[in-house]
Amino acid sequence: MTHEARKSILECKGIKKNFYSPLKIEILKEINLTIHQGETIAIMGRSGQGKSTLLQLLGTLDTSCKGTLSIDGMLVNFFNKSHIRNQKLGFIFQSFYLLEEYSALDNVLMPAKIARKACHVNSSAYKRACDLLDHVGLSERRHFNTKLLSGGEKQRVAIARALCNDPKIILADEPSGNLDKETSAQIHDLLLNLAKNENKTLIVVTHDPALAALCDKTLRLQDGLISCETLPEFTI
Amino acid sequence: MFELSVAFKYLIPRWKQLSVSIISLVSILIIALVVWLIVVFFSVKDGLENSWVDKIIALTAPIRMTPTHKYYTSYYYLVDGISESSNYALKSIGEKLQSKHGKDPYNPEVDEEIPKEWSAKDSQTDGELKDLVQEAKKIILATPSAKNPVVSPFETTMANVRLRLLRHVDGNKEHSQQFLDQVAYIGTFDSESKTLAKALLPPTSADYLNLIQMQAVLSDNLIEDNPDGFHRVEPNELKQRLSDLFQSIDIQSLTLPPQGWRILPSYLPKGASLKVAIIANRIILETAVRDAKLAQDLELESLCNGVGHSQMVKDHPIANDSGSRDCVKLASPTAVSRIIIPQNAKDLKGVLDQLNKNVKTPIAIEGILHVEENLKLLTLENKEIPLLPSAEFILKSITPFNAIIDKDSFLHASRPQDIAFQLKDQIQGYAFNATASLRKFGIGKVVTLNATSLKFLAESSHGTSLNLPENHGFGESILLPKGFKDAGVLIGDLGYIAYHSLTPSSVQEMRVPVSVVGFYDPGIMPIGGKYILALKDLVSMVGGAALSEQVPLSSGLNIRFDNSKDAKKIKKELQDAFEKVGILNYWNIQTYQEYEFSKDLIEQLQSEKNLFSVISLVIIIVACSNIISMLFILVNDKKLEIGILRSMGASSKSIAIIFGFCGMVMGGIGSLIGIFASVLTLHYLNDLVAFIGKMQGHDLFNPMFYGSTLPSELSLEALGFVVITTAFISLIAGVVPATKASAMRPSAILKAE
Repeated sequence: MTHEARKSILECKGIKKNFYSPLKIEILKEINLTIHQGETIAIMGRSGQGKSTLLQLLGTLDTSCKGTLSIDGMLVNFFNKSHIRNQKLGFIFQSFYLLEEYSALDNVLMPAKIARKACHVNSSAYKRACDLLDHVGLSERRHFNTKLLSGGEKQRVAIARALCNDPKIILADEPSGNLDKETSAQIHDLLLNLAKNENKTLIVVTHDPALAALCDKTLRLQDGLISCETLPEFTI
Repeated sequence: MFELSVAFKYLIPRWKQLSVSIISLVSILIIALVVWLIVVFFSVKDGLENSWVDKIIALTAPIRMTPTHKYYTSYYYLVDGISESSNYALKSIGEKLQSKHGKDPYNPEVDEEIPKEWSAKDSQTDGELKDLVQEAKKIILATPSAKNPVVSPFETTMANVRLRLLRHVDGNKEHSQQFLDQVAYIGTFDSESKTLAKALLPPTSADYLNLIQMQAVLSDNLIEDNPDGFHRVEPNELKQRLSDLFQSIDIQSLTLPPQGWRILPSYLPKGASLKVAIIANRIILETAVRDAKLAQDLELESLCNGVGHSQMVKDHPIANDSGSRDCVKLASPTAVSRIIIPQNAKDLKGVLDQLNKNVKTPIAIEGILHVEENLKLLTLENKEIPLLPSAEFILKSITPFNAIIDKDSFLHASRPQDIAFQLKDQIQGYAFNATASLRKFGIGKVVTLNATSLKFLAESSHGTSLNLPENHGFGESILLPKGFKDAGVLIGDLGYIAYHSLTPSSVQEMRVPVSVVGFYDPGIMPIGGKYILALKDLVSMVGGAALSEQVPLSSGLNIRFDNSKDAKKIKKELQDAFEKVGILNYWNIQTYQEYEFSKDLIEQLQSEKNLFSVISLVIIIVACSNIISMLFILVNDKKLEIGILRSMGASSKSIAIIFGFCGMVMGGIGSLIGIFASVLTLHYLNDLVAFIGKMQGHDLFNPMFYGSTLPSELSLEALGFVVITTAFISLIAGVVPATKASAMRPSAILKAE
């Protein structure tokens, strides 16, 4: 595996994050990271070590106290954040975070709408949304309100949504944390397959060694530093 | 725009967000209420203001031009005084307006030398004398901004008006004679004034009655200082006058006297069964029973009960301590002396209630009258009651009876009240025919047969232009302000205008007979109560004669046009045009906002308007501030969705737009509801006002100040003001929560799980 040959898609240098209230905690001390196109990476670590914070920093949802982040060659700043989130990133959350009062299809289409793409029935965005829902096995439930879906189905919708604008990077924060074992395994397969097939970079925060084992690389976060970078065969 | 679709999702009320829904509903209702209040208030206020301004303009004009001192000292004005071709008389502006253009009346061959102190002749480029009046008229008529400009000369002067109010000339009562003296302004009546036509008060039936009665009065002694009594005209003359009068008006219905009309039994419709109120002569109290105990002793109560009880006529003298005698005389209760017939059967209850009001035991009962060969009177229980031969039948009606005037009766009429009418109407559904005269009846509906040939009334033909009758043989026509009507003057009253004329040896009082032909409502103009309108000739006679050496009190040109709101702009155009031809110095141009007598009022109206605008702005701000709290709650409720949308790449601007839009839509819905409600309210405004007036027992708005009906036209100005300010303020109210929403960090929201 020659990572160097591949294009680097996400680069962060000297990222530092402190929390100030109620006590000053240096949650991330110095993170330097380079992630390449098509890589699947699992971030593991004990609770409270700042895995989610790191993921949100990488996903531009949070801002670091120090350090720079560039995604797909673009240095992230206040003004291009939203655009990068919309075009380059797809998020999958533990609690799914689907929009209520909307159907599954509307949820999947929302990133396209935010990108001001045409979303009428014959548009390419609409077609892609339908294809994605087919792909995650929900073609029957397209017009179901998200409230009526089961947890696994919700997460499938969320995966489809994350892929809507064809982003380069997918960020998943414990995607199977709220699901039973069997469903989790399905979601893991789906996620990994999609990432491989569409050549997406996948960064996933997880406690689940099974999921980490499926990834190319596992990063372990400890004491605000990435303590070791292991290949999957060593982690088990 | 996904922002809009998201915002609409938020606006749809849901059970899950009950608190938000209730708060938004309340704030929408409050905005609606405020908008409703402001739109209705401003519409009515604007309408009132417009009607007041209209009335100011009605008496004057949107723009008035008065000659300056320079005009009166100009060669153009003075030269007529020394020119033979002008009869050595100065000309008024009206006369100048009528004369041929550009002619210099001065003839060096015949006329005396021009005095040296006169200012130089103001000539045109071709050497002709500049005609200041005609030139001005030409410019006015060509003013581009004025719609349908009309120029008419006006004069205002002062004189003493003395009106003789003759009353009860015809009645059985002694006639009375009063005089009303008033120093008043006399202004030129302008038939072109459309607003004046609107301000004309319609004649009342008392006016018509007076007008008819005055036909019998000879006014030859009128201008004497204290005419004793009055002279009647000869029967032949009266006939002529009456037929003249009834050629222009027609009386179509008559009203019954309030106490009812006593009719002969033969008038009753044959074969009819009429519902009537029966009054029986049961008890006549000749002297009041002062002692209640005494009344008890006599068991008056029992005597009063029922019509069928037979009681002997008896005297019951009782002596009491003071020696005076209280005497109760009881008559036979079975004989019916009076029957009251309402015209409509459904009015019977009202008649009975009225008769039995303030009476302990009912004196009138309901019954049915069968008009057959012999009159048969029945009670409701089918008990027959004998009728006294002297029984009275009294017809009562609140609605006028249709009547046709009998023109042949003029021939025999020695007095106007002898004019006969054929009544053709119905009583409780049965045809009723009778003859009647003006002796007892009031005048109901009167129609004008031919407005232009009216000799005695000022009438607006088609409500646009006004007609003041000339030369009808009763003196000059004058149109009086409403205040005179309130003082008891009626149409048809005669009098004279007195003014002073200067002769070489003495001051003479001149009197011109006048007759009142109508009343108009001067609105709230300060001098309006004293502003009499008369035809031009009378005004120039009074004005000219009184002050032959001085200029008339006020004279000039009235400039009227349809778009009176643009007066200021038109004034500017006129000034520029006058400047160009060099006659601006001779004229003083004023818009209605600048008139001495109306300036204060119009300024006051303007400052009131500003004040109310500020107040309503504050109210709108208060109403819209509710939106802020509602949006804060909404933002809190939708925190997670904000985070999700942000994670999908929605910019903070988009989030702000969503909530700002929510605020605006709420403001918009509120104002829409308010506008709709105010349109409805304005549509039914006068009914509403009448209802409230009824509830509180007196008129809500005094018609003296507000007119008989409130203006109910929607004011577009107010509408625009409210819509724009509401939208703007609700937008601002939305900004604060929207900023909060957009400033939320998605990480904080999404991590909080």
